[in-house]
Amino acid sequence: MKLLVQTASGKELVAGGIAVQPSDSVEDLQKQLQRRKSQYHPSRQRLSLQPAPGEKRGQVLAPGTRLAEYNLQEGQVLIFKDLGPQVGYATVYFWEYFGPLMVYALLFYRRDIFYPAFRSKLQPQTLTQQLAFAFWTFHFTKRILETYFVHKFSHGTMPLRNLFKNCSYYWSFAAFVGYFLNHPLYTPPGLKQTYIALAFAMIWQLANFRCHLILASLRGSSSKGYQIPRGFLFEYVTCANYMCEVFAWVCFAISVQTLAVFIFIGAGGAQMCVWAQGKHRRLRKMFDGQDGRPKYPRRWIMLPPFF
Amino acid sequence: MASLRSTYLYLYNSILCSGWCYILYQATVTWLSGWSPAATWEVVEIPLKIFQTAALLEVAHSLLGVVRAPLLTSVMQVASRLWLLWGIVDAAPAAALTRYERGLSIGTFSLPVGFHTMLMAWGLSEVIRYSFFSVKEWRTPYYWLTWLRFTGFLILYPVGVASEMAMVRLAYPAINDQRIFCFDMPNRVNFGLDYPFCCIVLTCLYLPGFPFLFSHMLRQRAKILGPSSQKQQ
Repeated sequence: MKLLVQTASGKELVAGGIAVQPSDSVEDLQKQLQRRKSQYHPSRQRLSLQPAPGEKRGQVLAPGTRLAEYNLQEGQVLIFKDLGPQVGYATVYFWEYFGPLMVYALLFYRRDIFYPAFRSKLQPQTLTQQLAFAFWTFHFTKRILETYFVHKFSHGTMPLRNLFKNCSYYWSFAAFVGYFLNHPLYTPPGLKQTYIALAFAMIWQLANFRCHLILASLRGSSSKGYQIPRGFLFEYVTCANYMCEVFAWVCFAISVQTLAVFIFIGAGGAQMCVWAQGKHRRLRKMFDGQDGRPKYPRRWIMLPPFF
Repeated sequence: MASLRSTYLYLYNSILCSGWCYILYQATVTWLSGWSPAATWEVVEIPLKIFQTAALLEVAHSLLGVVRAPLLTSVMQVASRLWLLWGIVDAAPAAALTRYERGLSIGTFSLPVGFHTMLMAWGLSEVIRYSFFSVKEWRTPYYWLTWLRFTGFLILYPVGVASEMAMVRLAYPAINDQRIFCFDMPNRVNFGLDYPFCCIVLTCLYLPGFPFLFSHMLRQRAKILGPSSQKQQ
């Protein structure tokens, strides 16, 4: 069977089309295409059917599916879009979390470089500052380990420029938070406050970990599409994982009494709210309770009792 | 609903336009009569603060979808103006309003830039901009007005930025010496704000910001005054 591949503007991408079998997978087709056009690695190819009349976008040929699922005809036209250079999710996550570990550690161990005005009169860090360093390191190590051993990503790759965007966000916030927490003029709150709030922060971190395990098990049981998350805090909140994350950071901010941490979680929390709203909407739309589809239960989006 | 929006925008732009006409008039007259920047500041301070701060509403318009202007460019334009007004001139008037800087020079012609040139550049661009938007609410803008709107910035924008940089340079030593708007550690929230340092960072943001906004206007100019749009005129 021959398939023709065109760009959105109607230009033929490979002369004469590509010969495939209906039993081939989408990856097979993409590899064939790469053989003809070596600059397009399969990860940056998006192939879709021609849009039906009155629609803007055609159905995308999803990686992991077979061509037979799309009822392709001899000589049918596929629309090709170059998604640009791509990079794996795990790679992006590793670098965006590894940076904060290094930046914070540098500020912690080399205060003589970063606070030159205090070089001659540096005192050892307070216990609170040491605990803060431990929590920070624990948190980002947890994220890196989760990236490799827990998370299952619904897409394999993202545009390369996201690597630079995400890294500059996390690395500069690490410098911002670390600068104030390791400052020689840092004034710790009472130790009781630090201990209690930090204990709560750790509890929320563990809850967040359990949420991630639940989300990973959803992806594990069916590779395709969404499922209604159930169990633990997901019975009440759509994005319980974000909720735990935000609460953990608020507890941490209280335990070290530092405005920079509140600003960090304010920015991160706002972004998570946007993502959570999107996910909540998708789940509600997908599980509308019609035609035998389950109805999505009434839940908070992310931050009960407000949101 | 559409007419309410239209009436509101007409009123908003007309009021802002008349305010800026007054500021521009004062700036021109005092400049030609050789007044010092400090003397001019005394005359224009209140109206300038009112009408420039009112531009915050433009960010709100963009946010609420009242106008189609992109949010990012609105925020950048308004924020830089407000910083200059409240964070530079009003924060250190004695230093910012002392003199001019040797600024733009083309061949033997040189324009000393400072408070007056900033006011003139701001005033001219705002009068043109607001009258354009105001007229737009009740008819297709006159061609000469459209042309001015998308041509004036070619001169006004570089003069404005050069004057703004001159103001920062004049005010910076005073801001640094008096540690204006600084919040120093140690304190109970373990946070510090070094405003002189922020001024340096903000000034550096002009490097990517200026080409971004200028090329945005150049694209608009090409779109609206370009050859393909001539047929519609």
